[in-house]
Amino acid sequence: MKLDQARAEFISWARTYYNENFISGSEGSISCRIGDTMLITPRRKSPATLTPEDVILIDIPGGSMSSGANPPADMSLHRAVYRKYKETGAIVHTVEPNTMTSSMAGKTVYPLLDDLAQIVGPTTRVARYSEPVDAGIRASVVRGLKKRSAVLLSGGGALCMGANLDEAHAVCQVLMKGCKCFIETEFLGGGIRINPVETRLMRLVYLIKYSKQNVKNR
Amino acid sequence: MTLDKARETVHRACAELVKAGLVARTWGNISAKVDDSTFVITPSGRRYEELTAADMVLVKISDLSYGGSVKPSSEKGLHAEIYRQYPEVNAIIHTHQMNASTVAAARKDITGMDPRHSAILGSIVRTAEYGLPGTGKLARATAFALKGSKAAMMANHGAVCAGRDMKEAFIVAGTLEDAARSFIEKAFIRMSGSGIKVTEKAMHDYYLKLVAER
Repeated sequence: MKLDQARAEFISWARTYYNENFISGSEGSISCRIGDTMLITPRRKSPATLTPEDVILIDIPGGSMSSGANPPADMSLHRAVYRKYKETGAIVHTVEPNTMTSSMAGKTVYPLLDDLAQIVGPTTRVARYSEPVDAGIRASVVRGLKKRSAVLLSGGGALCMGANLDEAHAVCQVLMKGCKCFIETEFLGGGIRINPVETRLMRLVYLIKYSKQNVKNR
Repeated sequence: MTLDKARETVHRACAELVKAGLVARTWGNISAKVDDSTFVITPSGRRYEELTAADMVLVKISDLSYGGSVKPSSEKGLHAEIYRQYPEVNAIIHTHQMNASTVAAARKDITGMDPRHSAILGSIVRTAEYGLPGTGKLARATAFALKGSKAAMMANHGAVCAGRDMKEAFIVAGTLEDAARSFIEKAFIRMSGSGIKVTEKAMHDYYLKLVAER
């Protein structure tokens, strides 16, 4: 994909995430990977007014910045995740309210709904988080994402990832619903957890089979 | 209903369902009965906005067989079981709607409904026993939970809404979402004490207080 086209698509997705409250004008960030380059949203710039020149380009292996200004505080976190997880093509640091509250509670979110187990994984762990982001936080987040598509950032929302911005969007949506359910079932006497073996089985079936149906089933 | 009409009905319902916020992406499925032995259903795993009426798959109620290369929804057995047990049902929507899913995750039945809800749904909306997605166990449990109501919740999964036609199935889904929201809010008020206005922020603040006290 050409860089100009990638930047235009990236801005369009940034607005979608913004309009759906996954990121705000001042908090949260979005990135995607094109080859060895990472495109990422700048610090405190509303996606509503983002231009192609504002999009920051970072060399993933070396870390140098070739375009844009004011990288976000979590920029090194995005880069660390791309370096560790080669199949990851997009990352969203979401600050959506349900996800944010769950990150503030600091409790592992167990899947109370099948789709959380399928699309995010058998648990959503909580990683350390504060700004500035240091090596210890990066290691904690990378560890938290092992065999998962999202990790809660203690007090700071969550990091969701996918093969592209569309997949990462699905992860954000399902995590939001899973967190909302986790919070509100407390008022109904508590959510009933799905058997852990079954959550793992559903995740496996989703990754091997169901996630490919949109392309295969034609 | 003719096959073409059923396909068109399901196709139109896909767009309406996403617009109504009752499903996102491919999470959920819709069917319409063609005659006593067949129904058409959304295909497995495909995004609703990319579908055409011709993509809707014709499935036999008796053995779940289907023609063509496009696979029907993996929940075809659930739809077939409901059509088998409830001959008056002609349209089914399986949603992953937010509030009904939350009640289903607590595995509670919705009772004590406002008359505007119970007039449409019946006096109780039950949550069916848990079964893995796509299994016969889930289909049988959900069909059983539908007795005496137009809707049933599926433990840790979502909801199923049935109607004499697609229009009614939509009304049932919307009413269920309102009833489930009201059920959650009443439980929150009971637990937190009177005087707290029910907002998302009030719920989240109270939740964080509960967590901190543990």
